[in-house]
This record gives sequence, C-alpha cells and structure tokens, in this order.
Amino acid sequence: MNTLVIAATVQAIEPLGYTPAGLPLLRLQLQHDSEQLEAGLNRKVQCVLPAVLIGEKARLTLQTGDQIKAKGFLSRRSAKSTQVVMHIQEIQLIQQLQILKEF
Amino acid sequence: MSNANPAQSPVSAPRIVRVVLDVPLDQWFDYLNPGLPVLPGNRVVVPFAGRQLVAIVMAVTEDTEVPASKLKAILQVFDDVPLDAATLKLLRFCADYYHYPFGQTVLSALPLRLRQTKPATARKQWAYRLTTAVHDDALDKRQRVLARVIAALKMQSECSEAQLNTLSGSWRKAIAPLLANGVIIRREVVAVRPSMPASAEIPALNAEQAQAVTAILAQRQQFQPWLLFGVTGSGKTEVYIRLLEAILAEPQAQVLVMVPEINLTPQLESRFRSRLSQFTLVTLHSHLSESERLQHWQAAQSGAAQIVIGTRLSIFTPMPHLRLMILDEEHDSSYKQQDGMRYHARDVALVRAKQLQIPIVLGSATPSLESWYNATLDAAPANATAKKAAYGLLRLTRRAVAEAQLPQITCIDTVQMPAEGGLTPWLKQAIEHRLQRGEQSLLFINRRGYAPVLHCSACQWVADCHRCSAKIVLHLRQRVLRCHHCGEEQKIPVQCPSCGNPDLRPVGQATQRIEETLQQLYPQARVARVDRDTIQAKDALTEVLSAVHAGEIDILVGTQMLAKGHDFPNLTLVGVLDTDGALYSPDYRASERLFAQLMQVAGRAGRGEKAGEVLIQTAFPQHPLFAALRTQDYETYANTLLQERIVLQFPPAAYVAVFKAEAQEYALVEQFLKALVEAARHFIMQEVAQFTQLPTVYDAVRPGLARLNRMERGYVMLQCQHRGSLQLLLRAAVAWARHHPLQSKIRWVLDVDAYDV
Repeated sequence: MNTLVIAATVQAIEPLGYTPAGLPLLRLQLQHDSEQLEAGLNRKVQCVLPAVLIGEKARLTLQTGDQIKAKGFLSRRSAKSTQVVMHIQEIQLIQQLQILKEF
Repeated sequence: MSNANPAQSPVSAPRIVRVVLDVPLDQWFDYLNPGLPVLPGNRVVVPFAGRQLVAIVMAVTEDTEVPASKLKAILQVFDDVPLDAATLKLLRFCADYYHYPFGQTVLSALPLRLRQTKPATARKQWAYRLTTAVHDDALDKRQRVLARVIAALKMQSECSEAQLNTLSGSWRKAIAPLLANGVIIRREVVAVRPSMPASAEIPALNAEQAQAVTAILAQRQQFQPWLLFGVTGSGKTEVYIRLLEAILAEPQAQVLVMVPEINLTPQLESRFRSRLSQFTLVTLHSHLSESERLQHWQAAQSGAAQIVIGTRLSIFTPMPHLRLMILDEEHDSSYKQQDGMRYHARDVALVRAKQLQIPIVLGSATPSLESWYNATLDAAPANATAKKAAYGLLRLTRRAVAEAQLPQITCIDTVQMPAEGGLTPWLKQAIEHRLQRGEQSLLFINRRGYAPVLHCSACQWVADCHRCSAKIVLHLRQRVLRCHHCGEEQKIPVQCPSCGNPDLRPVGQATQRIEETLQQLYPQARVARVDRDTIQAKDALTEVLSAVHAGEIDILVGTQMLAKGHDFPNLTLVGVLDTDGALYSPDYRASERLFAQLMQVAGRAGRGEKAGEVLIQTAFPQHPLFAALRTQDYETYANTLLQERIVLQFPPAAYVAVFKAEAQEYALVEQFLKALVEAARHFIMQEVAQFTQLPTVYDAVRPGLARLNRMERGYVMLQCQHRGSLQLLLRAAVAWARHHPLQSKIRWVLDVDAYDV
C-alpha cells in the first residue's frame, strides 16, 4: 500500500513539459501546513514535498500560491537518490490565490 | 583447333570471345562469336544462367577449354567506345590487390546505364536561359523554386540541368509555364559548358603558392606524388587552378580533381567554372541522374571533358589524356569505399598516376598519417625494409587572405566550469558577444538527433536497438528512436518497459537538443541546424549555406558536415561541444581523425578579415591533442602519432588487412574465423621461404559493435611490414575462404588496408 492524501499550497511550479513520448508532465513543489494529533497531543506540521503530475491532469492551470488537495503515491526521485517524490494521481483545486486575481 | 566446328563462324573473326561478368566468381567466361566485330574492351550481351548479362570482352582468341557443345554465343555487341587498356590495367590491379572478383570490379566501375543490356543512350541535355528581363515583383511569392531558378539564370547567362538540380528537385515543373510562353528558352548541349561572368577576381599567388606551382610543373612529365600541406584557408584551391591552367594548355590534356564529399563539388565546381571557363568540365558523383552520369562519363572517356571533378567513384573513369590528378582533402575517410570492393581512392589514384607516369597532388591541412609518413620518410627512416617513393612535400603556412589570422583556440575545462544544456557559461557569453556584434557562430557537435540515450531514472533502463549491440538515439522532433547503425526505428515508449515509469529522460546532447536550447536562450537569434536529418533534400544544404553567406543565420549548429571546405567570412566563433568520446576510443585512428576534424572545424573561424575564436569544451584540457591543436601544430602531433604507430606496428608503419565475418549465430563466425586463423598460420609455416617478412595473424575477436543488424560479427586481423608478403598470405586466405564449407552460412569480406573494424 502506498497512498498519500494531502492538502497543500503550490510553492513552486515548473512550466508544463512533456515526456519523450508526449505525455504532459508538470513538476511542482508543495508546501504543507496543518495541525495533527500525535500521542493524543495537538501539534503543528510543516513540510515541503516535491511532486509530479503526469498525464492530461498536468494541463490544469495551476499557479504558485494555489491551494490544492492531492492524492497519490510516493516514489524515490531516482535510482541513485533517497529523496521522495509524490506522484499525484488525483488533484483538486481548493482555492486559487486571490491576490493574483486582483491584479 | 583440331575439333573446330567449321559451320560456326566466318574465317576472319576469331572464334572465341573471353569475357568478364558482374558475378561473384573470379574467372573469365568463354563465348562463341557468331561473326560480330568484337574488340577487347567492348561491351557485349551474353546468356548466363538463364539471364542476359552485360559482359566486357577481355580477349578474342581461337582457343577454349570449354567443349563446343557447352559453348554459347554472344548475343550482341554494343558499338560504344571500348574500355581502354589503361583503365583495364588499373582495374586488374585493384581486383588483385583488394582480392575482389575481376568481373565485379570492372562492371562496378561503369555507370549503371552501361551495366544494363539496353543500349546506353544518355537523355538529351539542355541548357536554359532567359529571353527577357523578369522583375522580381512579377513573380508569385509562393513560387520559391521558380524565384530561385530565375535568380540563378539572371546571375549567369545560361544554366545546365545539373546546376538547376542543385537549386531544387522540382525546377522542371516550376519553369514549365515560362518555357511554354518563351520567357525561358533551352538549347540542347553536350557536356555542358556554361559561360560565366568573367568578373572573377584573380588573386595573386604568395611566395609559397607560387613555389608549389613551380615545383609541381617542373616534374609534370613523370610519376611524382606531391603532398600539398596547407593550413586551412591557405589557398590550396588557387594552386589547383594554376596547375590546371598550365597542364590544360597542352591540347587535349585532361585533369581529374577528386573531392571527398558530394557537398563539396558544387563549391569547387563553381570556382573552377568561373576561372577555367575555356575548358569543358564535368562532374561525377552519386547525386547525378543515371543519364547525366553516363553523359559525363562518356565525355571523360572520349576526351571531350578536360576537367573531371568527382568523388571517389570517379577514380575509375577512363580518361585517355589524363595528365594530372588532384585529391583535395586527401585525409578524408570518405575516400575509403566501405562496401563492395573496399578500395581507397587515394591509393588507387597513386597507382593510376604511377601507371600513367603523371604527377598527383594530395592536398590537405591535416594530411593522413599515411601521406605524412611518405612525405617525411627521409626525416624519419623508421622502416628500412619497405622502399617507398617519397612524396614531395609542399607547405603553405600562411592564410591566403592577407588580413586573415589563424583563429585563437582555447579549451574550456568542463570539470571546473560545468556545461548546462551542453553549453558552458563561457561559451554562452562568447555567443552573446557575436549576436551583439552581428557576427556568426558555429557550434560543432558530432551527433545528430535529440539525445544519444533515453534513460529511465527510476530503474536505470536504457533504450537499445533490437538489432544491434548499440543504444538507440532519440529523435524527438520525428518522435522516434532511431538506430544510427542499422536504421531501425522504434516508437518512443510511453513508459519504461522495465519498471513502468513514464518519466523517461533524454540524456546527453545532440544537434536537435542544442538547437532547442539555443532557441530558448536566444529567442531573437536565427538558428539553423545542419546534419544528415536536415539536409536530406537535394538542395537543403546549399540553401542553408547561402543563407549563412547572406547573413540570414546567426548561429549554426551542426555535425562534421559543416567542418569541410566551407568559407564563411562573417563567422568568428566556433564552439566545439563534447568530443571527449573520441579522445579515449579503442580505435587507433580516432585521435588522428579527431585532430583532423577539429583543425578543419577550427578553420571555419575567421577566414575573412575578422579574427576568429575557437572554444573547445572538454573535461581533458591537458590532453596532448589539444595542446597541439591550440598551437595549430599538426606536424608535431602527426610525428608523435607516427612514432606510436611505428612502435605498435600499425599503419602506415605496417600493412593491415581484416577478414570480417558475420552470421546469425556467433558460433558459426567463430568456427569459420578460427579455421581461417589456423589455415593462415599453417600456410605461413609451410611457405616460410616465400615470405620476405612473416605476417602476424591475430586471433579472432569481436568488434565494439558486436552485433549489427541482427548479424553477429567477428574479425581477424592480419598484419605485416611487407606489402608483398601480406598479399601472398591474402591470396591464399581468400582462396581458402572461397571454398570453405561454411561459406554459404556466413558472410565474409576482406578489407585490405582497413579503416576500421
């Protein structure tokens, strides 16, 4: 089993790219902030998570600052790396960054 | 004679015609002459194994060992000019030396039309010209081909079909309406000799050029090879032109000028045409139509053409009054034929010059080590047993345009300054300076496609060719993976076939990717890419080159195709990306080739009045090759390499022949080659007394590319300091191989003086 569901803010986003075979591919950096229960105690949680979106969903117009909810799995960045990357299977835009709209 | 059949032929004509055929059997065939007028060298049609084949008559005689009942008659004699004895002598030598069936040697030297059983007639050739002035405005902008044809016709009063062919493949269609209404008219011509504007400037020779011309002409009546060693841009072509003028002053005299690549012919052709317009000039190369090729060949054979410019295949063209041969860029590996009879056109040319007792000029900025060895033999007597005719060495050390300086060459250490997207910050800055100054840059990367490797970063899988032991190259624009060895194409996998990851990565740099990077970095710059993929169309290269000349290109990205011969006055920067692979290649010729290539590429910079700069990105800036390159010191580096070759007993210090064999299964190849090695060693032991020097027979090994196009490959190398001794062994080995029982299950070839394995 390998499922991660997370709410996060898009912290950084690369321009839409394509795999060599032509699938749309989007690399993002997600920033997560929440409160969680641990040992029966409330605590704050923060993390930054690299993520990738492959397939038609990658065409979604995302901007830095957007809040999203994502479901996916974790995999190492490469065979040579221990770093973990979230591969997003489902994504939901919760709130677009308002400041940008006002401009 | 006793059992001669009196009913068969008239008394006067010899009864038996002895011919060679285009079949892989090294023998002559006897046919009966039903009384036709036949001479040696004639083309005839004979029945052979149920087919009709073109044959060349070697002899007419009265005797044959073939029983009269089996003797068939020749069917037809063509009345074209017979092959002359000198050409046949040259072909005989080649068949012997390269151990190739004589019949195939002879027939493959002929234009295709002469190998067919139909009478060979060349289609009529036409020359075209304008009758009235045509305004550019009158032309439809979309008719680009027509516009180009008209521009060409305006520039020179008359254009040949060959010249128009270089503009576009569809020129005939484009001009049809104008031909119909008489704006363009044509006249029939033989061996086209267009009149050119006489405005061509005649440059004065500098002292070295003048000395070279004088030296060669002083010995014009005898066999004498000359190595014209001239730095890039030193005006070798001008020396050739002066030689041609002098030699062709003799009535009827002919000159053969050879170039390594077809792409170089139009340039040389137009320079020769403008300066030597009083002589008939024809070209011979594989881009001609069969009809054109036949006509040009016949023009050479009849003596009508005084100048023949051609690629390696032109070496066998009969030229009855040949007085001089010139091989430009003599070091180029394109002179080596890599299939059929694997001859080296330079070596064949030397033999031809010797047979005809005429001078031969080998020109290069980076001579082959073979020629360098022969030209400097006196200085380094390394091989006392081999007696060779030393070449005359002529140096051109200065660039012909007085202001032109040799370019400044610098290495960029990619360990200290890593490249990003193939380009180091230093190189990028240099490109930006050129863009600001309106000058041109050339980026040289000897790999076409997008990236040499498609890699899965999740599991380390790499895309391979299914038919070869090689990686398959990503061509992103065409959306395929393409093998550069066998041509296999695969669809780009949507996901890694091994682990399923869709995020596959192109790794490494090739021309398409560099082009893309440049377009992203400098969106305002005009970038053009030149490699085998972009110039497949006949006129594509000419188009790009004229765009460069017209200043319509800022950055040129390309493979070795760009390295040769081209002259770009406004090009001041050459960037060399990623040549390190060749520095440590197992191929002993790799460094010689790389050095020549980099010298040639570097020579593209600063040929005009502006100084040139060459930046080489490498992880090994301390390599002696770069040290020699920086000082443009070919001589020292060549001598170093030569010492290496002498120590290792590689060419030119020794002669090398390679038996190459391939089959579906390596076991068969191995069995055959092992038996060959044994037989060869046995032969040497047995015939020890016949050898001046004993050849070395190496064990069978597999080449770097062990599998090519589903065939498992292996080879055996034979090496000897004495050419005759090696030939003795090769004759025995070939005879052995031709009768080996595995002969039908494996394919083998002998590559004498092999270039690579």
